[in-house]
Amino acid sequence: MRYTVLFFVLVFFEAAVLQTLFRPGFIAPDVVLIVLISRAYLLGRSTILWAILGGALLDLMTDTIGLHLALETLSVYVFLLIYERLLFRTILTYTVPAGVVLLLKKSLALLMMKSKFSFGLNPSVFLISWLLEILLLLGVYFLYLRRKE
Amino acid sequence: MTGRRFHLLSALVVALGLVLFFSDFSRFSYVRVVVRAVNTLIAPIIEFKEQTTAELREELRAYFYFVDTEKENIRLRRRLNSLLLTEKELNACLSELETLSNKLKAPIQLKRLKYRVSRVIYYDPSGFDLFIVIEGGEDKGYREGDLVVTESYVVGIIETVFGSTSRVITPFNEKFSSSAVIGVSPKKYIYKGGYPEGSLLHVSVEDKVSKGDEVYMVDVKGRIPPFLIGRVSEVRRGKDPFFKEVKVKPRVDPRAEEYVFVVRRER
Repeated sequence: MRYTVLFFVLVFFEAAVLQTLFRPGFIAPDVVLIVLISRAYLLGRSTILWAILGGALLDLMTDTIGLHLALETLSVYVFLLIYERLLFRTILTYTVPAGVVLLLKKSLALLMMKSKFSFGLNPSVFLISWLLEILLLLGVYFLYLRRKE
Repeated sequence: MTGRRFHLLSALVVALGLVLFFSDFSRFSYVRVVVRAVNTLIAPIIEFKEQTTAELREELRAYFYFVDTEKENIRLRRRLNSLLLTEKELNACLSELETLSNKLKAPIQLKRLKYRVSRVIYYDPSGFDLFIVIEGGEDKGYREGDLVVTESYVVGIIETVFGSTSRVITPFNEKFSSSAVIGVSPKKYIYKGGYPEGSLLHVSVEDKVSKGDEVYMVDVKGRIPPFLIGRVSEVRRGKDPFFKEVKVKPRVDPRAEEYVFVVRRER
């Protein structure tokens, strides 16, 4: 129950606050995906359903039908594919695949939006957003996931 | 979740998302009904989200406005400090000059200039730079005819004084006229404003004037030190056989000025 509430609050936070702070909005740090990856790290494949729900909600709230649905699902799917092939759990087995997946998601979102719309993007914003995501990943690992292992 | 179902579900959802994104599927009338229904369900959340976003934008705008103001304040403080330093240096020069003149027993009539610093608040929108409007008017005791200068050159003369602002005509304005000298020559002429160049009147054919000579505004009574008006840009024979036609390019660029000194006329 706590996770559900936190998940919906984070979806709202990302759509309303983070996407307002960053220009363009879709480049903002994806806290929902970080939560999904963390859940996938602990609970495995059932997280894909949460990814579908989270992606659909984000699409509805940010009026980007299909973008988050496809990319959140794909990111969690790729993360699980990589993660399930690793035999042991360390900080690196969590952060490296998660970092790669977050970068992949951001790059794909950029490519998809660029193919449809014309807008300017500052590369440093892209990098800052990704580094923030990595910091959040590390924070989640050290504050929560490590205790659950 | 079993292996096959997991892969199939993921692939289908990703494909659906891509189709929805690239096909503008949501614009179709059948889909619109569904979207509208979903939107109705989550309308309060969307509305709350919009309110949050609007408030956040407002806060951000206010924040950046204050940051800009703070930066401007720091810049102005530095400028003010530099002006105060200049003022101190000038005062030191004046006292040194007075001491020197006392020692030489050649007293010079040096009266300290009464001046105030004003900010330029409006420029001539026509593009001819015929006037500027400065802060301060009757409230600061400005009077028509007060001289407006920078550290070294003439900006203009106050033409009209309002309650808290004053209109200053620049050397580009045809209404602008003053006494002027060329370089160190003691002979006085009349400078008449004009755009893009003003002219020096009554320069006789014998006077040595050449292109590039500096033209200074002088106070007939000698109370105000000479300030540069501009440089001679053209000298030619005029229609009148006794006088030359001398064009002067004013030094001032009114749009580049931010602060000016208003030298007060003695009552």
